[in-house]
Amino acid sequence: MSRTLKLAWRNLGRNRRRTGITGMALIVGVALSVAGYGLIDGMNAELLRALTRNELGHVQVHNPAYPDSHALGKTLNNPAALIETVSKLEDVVGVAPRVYGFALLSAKGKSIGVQLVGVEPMREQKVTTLDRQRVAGDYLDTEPTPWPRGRALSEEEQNQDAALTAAAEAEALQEIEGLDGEEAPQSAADTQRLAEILSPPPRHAPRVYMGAALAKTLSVGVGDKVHATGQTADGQAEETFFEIAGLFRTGTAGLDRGRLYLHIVDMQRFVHLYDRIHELSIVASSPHRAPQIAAELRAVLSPQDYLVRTWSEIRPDVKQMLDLNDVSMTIMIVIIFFVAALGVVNTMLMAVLERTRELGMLKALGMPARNIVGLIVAETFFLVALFSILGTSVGLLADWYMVVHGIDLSSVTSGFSVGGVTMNPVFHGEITTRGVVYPSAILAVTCFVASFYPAVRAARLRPAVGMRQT
Amino acid sequence: MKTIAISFALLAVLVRPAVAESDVSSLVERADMAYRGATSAGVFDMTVKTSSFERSYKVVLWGDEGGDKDRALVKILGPALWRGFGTLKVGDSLKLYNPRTNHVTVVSSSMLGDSWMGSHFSNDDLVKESKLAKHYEAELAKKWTADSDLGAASTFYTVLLTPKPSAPVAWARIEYTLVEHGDQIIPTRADYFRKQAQPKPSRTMTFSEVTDLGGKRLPSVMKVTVASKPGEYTRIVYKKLKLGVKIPKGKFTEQALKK
Repeated sequence: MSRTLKLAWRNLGRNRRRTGITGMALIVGVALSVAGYGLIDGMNAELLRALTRNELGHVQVHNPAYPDSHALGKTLNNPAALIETVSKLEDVVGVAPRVYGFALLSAKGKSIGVQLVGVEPMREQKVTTLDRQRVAGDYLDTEPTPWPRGRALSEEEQNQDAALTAAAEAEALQEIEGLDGEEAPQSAADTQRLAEILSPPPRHAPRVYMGAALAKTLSVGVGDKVHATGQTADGQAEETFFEIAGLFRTGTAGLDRGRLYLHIVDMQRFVHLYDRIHELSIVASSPHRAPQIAAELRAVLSPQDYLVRTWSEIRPDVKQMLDLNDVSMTIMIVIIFFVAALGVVNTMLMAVLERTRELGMLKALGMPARNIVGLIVAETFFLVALFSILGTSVGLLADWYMVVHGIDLSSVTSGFSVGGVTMNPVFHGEITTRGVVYPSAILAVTCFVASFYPAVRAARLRPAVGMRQT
Repeated sequence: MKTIAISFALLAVLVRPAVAESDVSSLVERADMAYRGATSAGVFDMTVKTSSFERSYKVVLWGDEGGDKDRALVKILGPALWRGFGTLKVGDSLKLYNPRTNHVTVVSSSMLGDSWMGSHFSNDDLVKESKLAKHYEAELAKKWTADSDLGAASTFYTVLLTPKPSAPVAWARIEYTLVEHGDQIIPTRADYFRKQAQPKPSRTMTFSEVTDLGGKRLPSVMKVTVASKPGEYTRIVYKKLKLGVKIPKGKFTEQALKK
């Protein structure tokens, strides 16, 4: 057999130009595929990173009724124990509790409805890149704002309130009738006192972290105060001023234009959801660990109270897009290799036809047919192996460039959105095992199969006919 | 709140001596013509019931539909947490005043569709002009005779309102049911449809409890329900209504809003 291999290797060198041209085609094919995988895997990883590390995390836990209704009251039971359970799981890197709500923000004669998100500043850092997206000022303070809770009015206070309402009504009725009512100078101060029992103001304006585009809309900057009005979970209203601690820019328009982060305890106070949370976002060491972690959580959490979803379940559209990218890349590779395989078949067929006399002679000398098949297949193997290695090397060079420098599209676009996820305009490649192995492996299989036609043709040669050829 | 304004207007108009042969298409137009220049003031209790809370306010409303722009001032009289809250609309501009923080929020046009004071009325309801004849075509859908709060053998009308082409309105169809007795006409029900072919109304307003208000016989209770939120409602009960009231000077200014 070793003689067959030696013969095969030498045969490759007999027509170097032909071998070289076929080899070039293989190098280009393999290099393109390796680089293509590098680009697609890089894009997919970037998309996934943008999706999960801007906001989503890899796994989320909600009250089952929350995702559809976004009702303030649909919170998670026993968040402290839940966080502890999750933190103990293997491969969990970060766990961030969140509280959501809405407020009407107003400053300098402008107003806009925004989403408020209460986060634990330290925990959030391990889940999202929120703190690193800061473009001005500071990230959130680690300590919440001193902000006492309200209490219900006592019976005496309720009576006083009823009397104040009655007095205000009487005054309004008198005014409607065109009579001069008696002003009650006390009432404003009394009302203020009662209102502060029900809902004491914070000691100082809670510091918040705001989207840069939102700040621009309201014409405010770091250190400015904005007025916020919001509905609470128990049907009251809260109004307060927020002080802008810092501004962030994620690149995702919806977040930059319509979001404001504050300390989770301040947020719980603002919407009257003390010690309760809407969402738990979990980040694992890799997005691919998400299904495993979700399964482990589902095993210990009651499905009536906890809805556990992976990023791909929350955003099936993004998952589909990633899969689609993979499929289109694979189709491209199949096309490339179909063409490459035709080239290889052609080369080997030529090599066989050219050597009819020689092969006839080998057969006449008693070389078994299977050895002749082996010879041709081995020739193909050497051809493919040699140039696959070269092609992969060229592809890896291209990959290396894309990993280190990236492909900068910022001259064309300042960032674009894929399925609502904003991508960095500089694409970085990513070298994955499959990206390096698949092209060579697919090529080897394709060519191995393709080489059988010329090989069998050679083996079927009748020695007498073959030798008579010139 | 538009609906409050509409109902004020309707009340103001419909109780005027109705023409015996009630030509329905001109009824709406007469209503519009009549409430231009009309002023009104009233005190009412507003109860908001949602799936998560129920609360009540006592409210005073001043309205002036005359002049170049529609004007309205709403002040909350109680309870304590909301006493002194004010809403001022002048034409398309809407301002909210919060006495706790002494802050005036200028509501941008993008926020006009949001809930007003947690109720089932939107800010837009307060702001939008409600000149029905200008924006809607009216046709008589049904007419029948039955006993009503106004008296025995009253005439009921169901009027179908469809927006004129390019009318800047939120509803594709409104079904008004009115009742006429003697020289009085009052609304009993209004169904609002977002789409023309919609089988069930998006929002329904009912009028009941006919009493003496502003010297007329008028329904004192209005209840609004929204189809998308079953079980929830906002109910308004009039305590006082005066039509053609003399509006104190400077009532529709920011000073009055903050007073």
